[in-house]
Amino acid sequence: MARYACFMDLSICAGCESCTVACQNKNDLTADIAFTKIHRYQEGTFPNLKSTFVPNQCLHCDNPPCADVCPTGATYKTAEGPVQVNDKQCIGCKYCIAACPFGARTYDAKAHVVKKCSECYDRLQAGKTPACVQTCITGARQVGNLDDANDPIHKVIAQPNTVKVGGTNFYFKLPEGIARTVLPADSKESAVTYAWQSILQPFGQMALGGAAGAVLLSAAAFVVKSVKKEGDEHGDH
Amino acid sequence: MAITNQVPRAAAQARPDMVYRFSVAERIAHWNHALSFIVLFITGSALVFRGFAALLGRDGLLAAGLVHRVGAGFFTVLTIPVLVIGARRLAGEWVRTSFQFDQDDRRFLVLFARDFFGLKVKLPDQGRFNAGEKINSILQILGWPAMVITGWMLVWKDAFSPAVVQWVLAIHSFTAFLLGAAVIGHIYLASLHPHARPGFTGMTTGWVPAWWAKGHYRKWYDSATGRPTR
Repeated sequence: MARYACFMDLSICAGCESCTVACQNKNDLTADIAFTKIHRYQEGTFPNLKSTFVPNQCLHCDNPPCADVCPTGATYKTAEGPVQVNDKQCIGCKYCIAACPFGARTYDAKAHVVKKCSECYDRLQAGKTPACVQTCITGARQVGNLDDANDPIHKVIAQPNTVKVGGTNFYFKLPEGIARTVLPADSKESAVTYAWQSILQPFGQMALGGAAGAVLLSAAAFVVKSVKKEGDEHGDH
Repeated sequence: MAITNQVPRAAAQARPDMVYRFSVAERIAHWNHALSFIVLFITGSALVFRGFAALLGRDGLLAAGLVHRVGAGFFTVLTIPVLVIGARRLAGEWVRTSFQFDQDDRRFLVLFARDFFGLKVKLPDQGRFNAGEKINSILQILGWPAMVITGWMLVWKDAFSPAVVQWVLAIHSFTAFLLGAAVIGHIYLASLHPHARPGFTGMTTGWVPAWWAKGHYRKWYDSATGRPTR
């Protein structure tokens, strides 16, 4: 089985946005929806400028909070890594938009479905590279299989100045002099996710289950009592 | 002043074995709140329990979402105006007294479990609402605005930041769990529990058996009927 990792060399990314367009073409998206967006980051004042391009897209978290909150299971994590959305199961509730730490989800009002980058999972399974990787004119984008010791991805992610976004399978090579802070923060469980999953949901379920259990126990007690009473009355006759 | 309902003297005299407990406005408000909550609880559960969601499927869930919004309209809009227009004094007393627990109320809470499970117990005298009903009332009085505010925020979630929406969703779901737990107990007591169910007619016709009122709400019974029993 494969375990996919993505790499993007920001030191050679030209910011041409051909990846954005290739992705839109592949996924048949309208111009206002993009699963991968390229932003220009710039610091300093002319002529002492530092600049790079930084993508904004799904980083396929190891423990995707969007999948945790999805009430229908439409969003799910595959064993190989890519996080997928089953459009037929999505009800457009947008809980995933609120949960995504990277702002990587887009609501398609026409389809009433929330969409995102699939890492071209279908192409990966067919032995091809994702559309954004295939089209990248500078070769900045790459994808590989971490479980294959001979995959060139191992060499690529071992380069100096390469940063892994924690909790994801994404690696970025930063241009010289550009700090880690331009990249998305590590994917971590948020305070609200912790509060909901560790405190509120278990306590709420306990309250609901406790009430239902107490009601059943009480009803059973009264049934036993009435059967016993009937038995005593018959015994008297 | 005794918390009595406005009922014609002739009607009261014609039914000496019954006591008038809930006014028309109180009953309408109760049933609007109750039925809309049940609809909201069931349709909302579809988004919390995955098995239920899978059972309904995408179209079923979309329909449940629509019904949830219609139910929310009734839940939000009707209850308070009905109480304010039709039972302002009684509703005011209900809110005020719901937060007051005297010694009898505190003892009631300790002993009630025995009565709930059919064990022999002498419960302390209670006012118009017993201490358990007061707790349910507090949950409804505080839970109603919590559900209404967070619920409508979720309808217009695009207007808020993702972090706010996450907290709002957690508060909405957690409050629903608590209210659901209270409602399960309330429905069971009101409709099935042998000691409590004789009072169900209070929420249909407004009248309850005098013997039952005397046994369950002695303090209220004495003041409402002007027939002190001690």
